[in-house]
Amino acid sequence: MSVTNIVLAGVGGQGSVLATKVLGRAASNAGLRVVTSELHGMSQRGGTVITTVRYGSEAWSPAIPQGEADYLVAFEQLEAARHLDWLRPCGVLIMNDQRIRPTSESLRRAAYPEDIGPLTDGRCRECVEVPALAIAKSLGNPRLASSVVLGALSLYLEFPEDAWLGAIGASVPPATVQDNIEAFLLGAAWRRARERAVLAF
Amino acid sequence: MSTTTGRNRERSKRDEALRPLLLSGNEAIARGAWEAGAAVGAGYPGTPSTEILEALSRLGDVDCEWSPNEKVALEVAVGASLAGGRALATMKHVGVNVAADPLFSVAYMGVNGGLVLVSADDPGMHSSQNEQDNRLYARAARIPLLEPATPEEARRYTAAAFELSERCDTPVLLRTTTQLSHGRAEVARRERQAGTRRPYRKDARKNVVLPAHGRMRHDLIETRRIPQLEHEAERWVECFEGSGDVAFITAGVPFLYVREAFPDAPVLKLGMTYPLPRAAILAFAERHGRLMVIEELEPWLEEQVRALGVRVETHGLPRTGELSVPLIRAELLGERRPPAGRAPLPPLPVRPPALCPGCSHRAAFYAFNELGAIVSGDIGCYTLGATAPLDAMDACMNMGASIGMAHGMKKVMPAEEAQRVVAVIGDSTFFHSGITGLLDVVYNHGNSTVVVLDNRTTAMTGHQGHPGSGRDLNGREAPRLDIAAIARAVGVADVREIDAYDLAGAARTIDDAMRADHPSVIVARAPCVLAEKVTFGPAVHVDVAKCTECQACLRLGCPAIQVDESSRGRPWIDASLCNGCSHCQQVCANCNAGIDVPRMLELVAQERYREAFDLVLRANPFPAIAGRICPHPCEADLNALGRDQHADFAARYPQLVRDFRSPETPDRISIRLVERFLGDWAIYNLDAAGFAPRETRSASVGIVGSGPAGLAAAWYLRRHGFAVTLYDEHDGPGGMLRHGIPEFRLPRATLDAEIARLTGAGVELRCGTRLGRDTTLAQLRADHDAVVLAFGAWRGQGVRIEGADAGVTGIGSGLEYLQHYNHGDAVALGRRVAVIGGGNTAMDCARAARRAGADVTVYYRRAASEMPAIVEELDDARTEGVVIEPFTVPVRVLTHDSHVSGLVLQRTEPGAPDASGRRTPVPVAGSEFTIEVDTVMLAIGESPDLRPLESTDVPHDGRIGVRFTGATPAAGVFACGDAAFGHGTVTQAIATGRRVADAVALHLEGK
Repeated sequence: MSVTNIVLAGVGGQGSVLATKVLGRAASNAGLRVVTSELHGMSQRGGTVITTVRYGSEAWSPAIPQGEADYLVAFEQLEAARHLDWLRPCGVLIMNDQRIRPTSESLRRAAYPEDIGPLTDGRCRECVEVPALAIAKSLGNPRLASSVVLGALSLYLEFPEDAWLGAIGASVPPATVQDNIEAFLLGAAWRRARERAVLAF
Repeated sequence: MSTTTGRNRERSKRDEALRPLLLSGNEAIARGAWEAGAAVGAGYPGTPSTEILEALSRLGDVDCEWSPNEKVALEVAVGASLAGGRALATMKHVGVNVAADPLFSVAYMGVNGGLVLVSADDPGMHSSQNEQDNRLYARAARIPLLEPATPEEARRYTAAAFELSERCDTPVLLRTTTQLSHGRAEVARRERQAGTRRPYRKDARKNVVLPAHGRMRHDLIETRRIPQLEHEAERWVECFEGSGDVAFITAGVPFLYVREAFPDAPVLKLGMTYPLPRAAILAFAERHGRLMVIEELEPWLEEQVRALGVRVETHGLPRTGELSVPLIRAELLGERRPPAGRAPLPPLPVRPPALCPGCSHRAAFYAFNELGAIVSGDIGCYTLGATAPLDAMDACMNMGASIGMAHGMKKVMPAEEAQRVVAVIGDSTFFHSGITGLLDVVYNHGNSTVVVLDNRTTAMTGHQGHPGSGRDLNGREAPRLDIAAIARAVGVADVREIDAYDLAGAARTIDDAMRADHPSVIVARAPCVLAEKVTFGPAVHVDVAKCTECQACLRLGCPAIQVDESSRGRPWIDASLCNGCSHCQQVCANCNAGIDVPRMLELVAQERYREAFDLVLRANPFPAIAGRICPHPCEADLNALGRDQHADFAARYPQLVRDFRSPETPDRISIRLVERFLGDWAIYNLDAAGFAPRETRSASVGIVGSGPAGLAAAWYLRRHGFAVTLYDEHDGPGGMLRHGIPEFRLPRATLDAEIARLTGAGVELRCGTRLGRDTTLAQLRADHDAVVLAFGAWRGQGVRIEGADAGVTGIGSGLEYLQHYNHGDAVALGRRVAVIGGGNTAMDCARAARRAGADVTVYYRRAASEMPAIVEELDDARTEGVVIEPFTVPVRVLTHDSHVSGLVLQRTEPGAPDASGRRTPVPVAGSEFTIEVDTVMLAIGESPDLRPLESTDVPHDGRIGVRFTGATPAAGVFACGDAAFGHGTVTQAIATGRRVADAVALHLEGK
């Protein structure tokens, strides 16, 4: 496949636009042809935010059709569920296990799914639930959760580490570069440890 | 040697400085303008254009400004061009409409310094009110149109557009779309071009658009500019040869889709799409037999290509929304994605944008809703006031339209309706184009009320500055214009300010201004909580012991206030979202039904009874009933705000205190009496038939049980227009209201009058129909589109008392006794009656038995002050001679000839507090004593009879299993009242009836 498709989904205010920027820059630093999209209309007010990153020689338009994402990076569980059909059946879901409830008005119409695990059956090759909020909180700043998620994602994408770190340095506010790098590395370490646990088992 | 290394280092530094960047289309446009040596950038924020000027301002060297509106922005850019500088004007597609006037004239004038207008179109309307195709402006204005497809092209085209503009003496329209503006890709960099400023030269025949000059200019455009541009257009063509069956002509973002959908097809990509490169197209058409044109929205290219005489095949791609690769492949190749072969996802809650927690706009919209205002809205964050549950916007059209539209509406409406019209507009929008509307109101004898929501920023587009924000685009301090002063200067004499964090005060001021017969402006000034990260105080939490679950706080639509299964309908507050603004604390009036108590009092004080009654009806359709039997927690000392609201009311409405004081506390308003008065007022003054719904719907709802919950559900569903049938097993409607509560507490005339309003509105009553005997759930589901189970809790809870074996007479359910009493059946009670329990049923039993001539003692296990019964009823019971024995529990029944003859009781003392904070009564050893008694009535709670639900798909374990909304898992079956929620008071049952009606309406409207 000459193109890798990544869909990122989150809730306005979670930093998914910034994460998209970081991911795009990392791909670019890795020498790949990359296109991204950020459709942020009124999403700043707590709405769903969906962004895309595509890289590879045939990446032209930034839009990723439903059913063609190789990775779905979700910063929130409901948004993961909502965008599951963007994934190819052989795709990977990387999900922050955080739950952000939508307005009560929305909950009147449909319930927040108790457990999204069963929904992912048959919809992806692997579902990685990252305790990103907890890790970010352990660093003292819940807003670092998106960098933790990127760290977990980084093990799947073959960018050199300095491509990622350079991208973080060039994207996030200067005062938070170190924190974001630490969050990113913890996310990667968490994923690696989980891998080892699975292998040991 | 060393010189070479130095030179190399120099070069590598320069290479690094010019290494490609990952830029968005908008940033690339800014980059292109900067590289072209642009001197001035002007625009008005609007998605998806906003980031262009922000990026240009960051690059430096360019004088950038947010103008008050797009017309001014373009005029500033025209001025800069006239003076010899290169100038960029940016706006979203609808902004070009605002700037159309200068655009069409500068098209005749031409330029001195290059002039580029960027129109950021929004196919698919990600954040716009329409998806107009601004390419059509190019032909109408006779100016060239460029359509880049990628960020790199956006940079190159923008830079080249300035050259083109100067070469052909024309403004250039550069069109981007959302996918390009907000998409990122690698963009090369060039140095900034120096010395682009041209000298100013006076040329009145060019720049003063007198008709004589205009004729000359128009002639030049047709004879010189357009042919020159047609020639230029040939330089903006890219031709991809290929092998496909069909060849494509396309431009802009759709080029990317075509390239991806048909990687091998021949493609002619046009950079300039007005005028067209005639020669390139004709040559391409000659080489390829089959041609198609792919573009979003209008058939702009296609019609022009056809006009060249080229045969173009038609296709069925939509003329609305964005294109996509799958859409193109599906339409052109008939390629349909194979079905995924997996179950569709369940319905998930949507996540629409909402006003932020603590948003200062909320007060006005809450007030509009409570006032029943007809709201002429405007464009900005506050357009979100149109969404449920605020629902407080009737129309919203374009920037600044609210004021003129309100003025126009009032011209036509009858006085009563016209008085309810109000215009609402934000600060940036007011500066943009609201002031002229206000001028019109003043000049043309209007009396509109205009509410300006001033949060000192252009919030929706991401907090850009404006003339009232005090800072400019470059972050410098700027004069801060005062909206109130402008309103006065425009001629509005009545200008008021409101505190956005005083809901009652805001409603009062808006109401007062709307009723005045002159124009008024109300400024609600408070910072944007998002922009300025405002925190008012610690997060608020719900006091579980006090919450009546009326859900009045949900009417605010605050994202921090949640209600869901986890709390079975009791709201809770997400502390991570709450910033302590206190709006919800103000709304909480401790009302069981959720009435806006402060507003009700306000209206009654002003003797606006009909409005007060209508306000009450929104939460409780039976105020005459509730005013008599509700335990009125609203009259407790404190509301959720921790303030003695009674002192506030008493100070504001001394007359209301005189009219409605409670006998016990003469310095306080008895809210219950006000409610009862309104209910009685309506019974005497309003025609019961006047409540028919304005429009009816065909869907029908069957409601089982005509107690307070069923009646309330019926009322609100009928108000929604549905056909409602109310089934009841008894011979008369009202459930517990008729068969449980004695007439001395609730006169039947009052009950009948309020139920008559229901039947007057068209609710069909079928008494004597019992679920499980006369009909079944399956039958009801077949007969109706939705079924609401509201059959209440009628089974006395059979607490086992030793000695009360089967066959023993003289002991039984208090509720059963009350039913006999209310039917006038004779019941032999004997002389001495013991009632066990402390709720209203216990009091009703005691008082009814007392009326039947018995000596009555009520035994309650806790303190008398902890009895759940209404205080007044307790007092009345005592006055009537009922003896209350607190701290007592029954132990054993003594019998004689299988009839109760005595009761052994035991004293208790308060033990450790339980979950509700009340102390659990603990029996005191050795305190047993015996009384002689003829009848024992058990009034210790009731449970629903769920047998009719056996072998149905409706869960029923003690109570009917429902979501917090009242929906059961069984499709189309809902439940409310005690059978589902078990609150136990009439007014809370009414609140659940109202809630379930909303859920049913949502369900039926979604069908």
